[in-house]
Amino acid sequence: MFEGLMGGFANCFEPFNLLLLFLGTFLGLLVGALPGLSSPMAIIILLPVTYSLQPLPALLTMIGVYVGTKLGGSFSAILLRTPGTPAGACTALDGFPMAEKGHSGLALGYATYSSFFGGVTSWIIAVTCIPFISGIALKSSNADIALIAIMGLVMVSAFTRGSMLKGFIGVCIGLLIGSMGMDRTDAIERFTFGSLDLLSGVPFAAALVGLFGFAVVISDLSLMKSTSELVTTKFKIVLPSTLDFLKRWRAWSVGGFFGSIIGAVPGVGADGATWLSYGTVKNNSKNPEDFGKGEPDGVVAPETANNATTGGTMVPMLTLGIPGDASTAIMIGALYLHGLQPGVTLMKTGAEVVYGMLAGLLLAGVFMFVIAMGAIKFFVYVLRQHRSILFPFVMVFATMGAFASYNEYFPVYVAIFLGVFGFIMEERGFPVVTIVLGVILGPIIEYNTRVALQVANADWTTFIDTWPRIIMIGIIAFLVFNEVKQGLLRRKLSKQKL
Amino acid sequence: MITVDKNKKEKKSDIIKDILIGFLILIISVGAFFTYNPADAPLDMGTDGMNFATYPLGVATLLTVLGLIYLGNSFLKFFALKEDYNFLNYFFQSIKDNKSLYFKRVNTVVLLIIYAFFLGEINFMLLTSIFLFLGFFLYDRRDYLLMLVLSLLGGSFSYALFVYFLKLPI
Repeated sequence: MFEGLMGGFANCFEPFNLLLLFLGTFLGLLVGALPGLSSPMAIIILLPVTYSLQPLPALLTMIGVYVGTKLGGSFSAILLRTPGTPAGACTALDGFPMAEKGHSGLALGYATYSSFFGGVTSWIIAVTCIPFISGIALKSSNADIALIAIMGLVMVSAFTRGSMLKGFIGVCIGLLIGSMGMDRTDAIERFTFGSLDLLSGVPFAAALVGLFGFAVVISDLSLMKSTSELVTTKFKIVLPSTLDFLKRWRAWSVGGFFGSIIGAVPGVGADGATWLSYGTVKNNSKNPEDFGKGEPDGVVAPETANNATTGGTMVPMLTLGIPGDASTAIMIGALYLHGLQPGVTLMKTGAEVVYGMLAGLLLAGVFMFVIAMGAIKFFVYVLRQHRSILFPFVMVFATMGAFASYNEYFPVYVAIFLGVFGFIMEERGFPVVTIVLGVILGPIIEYNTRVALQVANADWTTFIDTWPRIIMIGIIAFLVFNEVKQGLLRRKLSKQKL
Repeated sequence: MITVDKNKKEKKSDIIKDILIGFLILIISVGAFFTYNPADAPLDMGTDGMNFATYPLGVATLLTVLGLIYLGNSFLKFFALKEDYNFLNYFFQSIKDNKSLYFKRVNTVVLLIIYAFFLGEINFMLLTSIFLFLGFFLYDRRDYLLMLVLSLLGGSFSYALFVYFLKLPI
């Protein structure tokens, strides 16, 4: 493991890879700072550029963006009270009051320091857990893989925002989209509507561009009129002293812990981790009344948690092929597009890429810190720009992302169609990430189920003939049962209110 | 009082949207039963006890059940607000209230379709410059000189990146 990691660092330190990681982090900070443009959107913008790259440089660029957006989101949260990313919303609670009191530099400093610390903490947890979990996962059979993928989908549906019913519906739509084209086992076409273009299924890049690119642009047009009134004109990051930061150990340890753990749970994402950390630190504080009025712990806890999710999300993604959030879902797609097979075998077939990504995760944290310190004025300048300039550019890059996947025009139309569909679903509270996960995991579930049944002579009890499988089915059943119970309870309560 | 009325109206138009989404889900799921086998391939079972149709039909069945639950829930909400059944009016009113936003959304999609349609037909740099200019215009920018400069720069940059460096066959 140590040798693999050293190899990963050696690959990252190649000048071209290092440059891409740096540029990715810079772009991430830039995009994260702009309200409405988040990490998945930034990665989508980069898609056409990354096709021409080798897998590791392409993924390093994405990792840079992923890490950068985490901190970038806090710039606008602190200076505008408008979080650049959903996870930045929590930071605004105390960051903005700090800025109003004239401590904007210190608030930005706490955010930068905490983000860096959160990233390092989760990186240590990730590099410790990944080889261990991967070692177990490598012994999995087809039945195990199918159950792991189903469990991932159920967990995403259960923990994602909104109701589990909406999560399940999104997943099922994704599963149907993923089953379009030639069946992998029998080579018979399904849902092709007579189109030759659909024989190889829905172009995956087009689905990503549509659901995470066009859908977000169409949705965020509602933000077009929001003006950017900065709370201050002083934009220098003032780092707190090491002693002061250490004194806030409760905030950063809670943030680091929750961020790393929650990041590893598919579907919850960074916003869940930030709010939980903030609430925990506030409830256990000696001065809970100071929260919301400019308490530094209210910046430290969510910002540490926010960046700590970066390592957490890598664990299920690199060991099981189950993404922790939307950005890692796109990275899984990128692995496919570069000919790698995400899942339990990735550590075996693409160990170089995995260790390179892990090394890149730490280095991106360092770059994030350095870039934020040096270029905060530039990010604030961009923060003041109107989205009317940005969105047309985003659409051009997203269109090229869909086109460049097959060098054909068909994926562009698919992306536009799915963009409109994704917007409609997202508007009614169906998270598009569930649709994308259905598209990714559907073919894995079907193929492995069929192979497992072939091996077991069509005996379905193969899915309950080992303890790990029984436990997985138990978890799936519990999550579904719990949601049904909660749903009935909610209905009972709403009836009582009426 | 005005806020309460506004919230009520929004809630009512939301229920209409939920019902429409419920029907959309059912159209997708029921439609899957009629479109899963475009080549009319025989439904012979394999050695695994499944065939190419088992999985998509299983998912379509599950989606139909979930869609019915969602639609049922939406109708329950519809009937719970029994003091006023003039829901469609609230629905159209909410569209009317956000006319400008819907106009931008619809035109964004139209602009994208036109851009995709003319890709490969018209010079990429020119097409992208026009697309960017129209995009700025659609999003209410009226500083024409800046719009023109940004469109031309954006078009040139896109051409250099996608055609010259990445060699995309546009």
